[in-house]
Amino acid sequence: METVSYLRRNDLDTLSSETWLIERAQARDTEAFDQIVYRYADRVYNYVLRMLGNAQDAEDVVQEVFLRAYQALPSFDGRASLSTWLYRIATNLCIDHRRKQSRRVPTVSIYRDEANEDEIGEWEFADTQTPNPLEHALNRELQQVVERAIEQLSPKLKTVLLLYDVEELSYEEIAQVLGIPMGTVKSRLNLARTQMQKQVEAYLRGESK
Amino acid sequence: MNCRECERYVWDYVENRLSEAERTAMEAHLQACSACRIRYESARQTYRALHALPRAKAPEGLVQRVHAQIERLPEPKPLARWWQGWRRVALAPALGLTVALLWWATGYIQSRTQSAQSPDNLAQQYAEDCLNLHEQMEVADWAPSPSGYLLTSYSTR
Repeated sequence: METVSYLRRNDLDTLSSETWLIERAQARDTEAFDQIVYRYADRVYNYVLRMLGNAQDAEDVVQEVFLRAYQALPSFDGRASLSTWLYRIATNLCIDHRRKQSRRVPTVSIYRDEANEDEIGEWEFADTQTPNPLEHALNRELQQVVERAIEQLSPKLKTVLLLYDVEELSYEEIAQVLGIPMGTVKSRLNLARTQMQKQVEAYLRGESK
Repeated sequence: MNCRECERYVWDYVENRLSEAERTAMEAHLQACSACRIRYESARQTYRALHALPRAKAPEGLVQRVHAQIERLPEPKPLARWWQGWRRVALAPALGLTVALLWWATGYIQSRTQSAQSPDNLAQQYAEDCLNLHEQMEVADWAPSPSGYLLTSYSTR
């Protein structure tokens, strides 16, 4: 019980400090806005990187996300949470970027080939807990299957899947981010997962042969 | 539970969202159906892999670069800043005023059109025209009213 009350108090503290930061940033306090960028940079970057599949593009887009957020912050009314609002800006900019990119030459993807393992060093990933080398290798292989499956999803399905399964937003928050009904979120998520599941199933069947 | 239902609820089962009864039915079906067991296993592995994907960290210096870009932004003009802050507050009464003006203008135009076309108005207009004509002809002495003038003038022709 103590843990629960502590967590609630902690959440309230975080919420009130965020409200204070937003108010300060709305009044053009750039240091308060820096704090907001510190808080959300990793989450927004991870999402944008998976949406675009390219580190350089992701960095440019994330900078643009925070720039737009700063400019639009005075009109932020707090009806949605700040993270939901930032994800909305990021989603729109990713869609714009993909549209522009489709007219240009394709860039190098983060979804690497097995033969090109060295590339993993280029991105700073958080540590993953793996019990032993064999399981680690199997997990890596499965992750590559899943990452390739994500890349093959249509932007609509990919957005919902990443927001739910990777960024861990609720159905309601995703509905707010994308401006679509919750039922549509659920059906898109189901479709995205089913498409991925088929690829994983093929991989698992290949393993069992 | 049949294979179709199993396929439909497999993600809810993976996410532990099923009721006790649904879970029991699902598990009984999985025990009996090898095709659905493979489907469930692939769903479970997909879910596990998705939730274990490594998270990328924002590149070093991103906050500083954003900060530098913000510092380079032109300072918003006082009027623009005021408007940005009061935009929402001002929008509601402005919208109300526009609707009220439109409503008044529509009603006014309608009443003008109707009154201009009503029989009483046509008669009044006709009478006024006659009076003007009457005055122009300086025959006010023997024609006490426009209608009288008309009757007289028409009868004398």
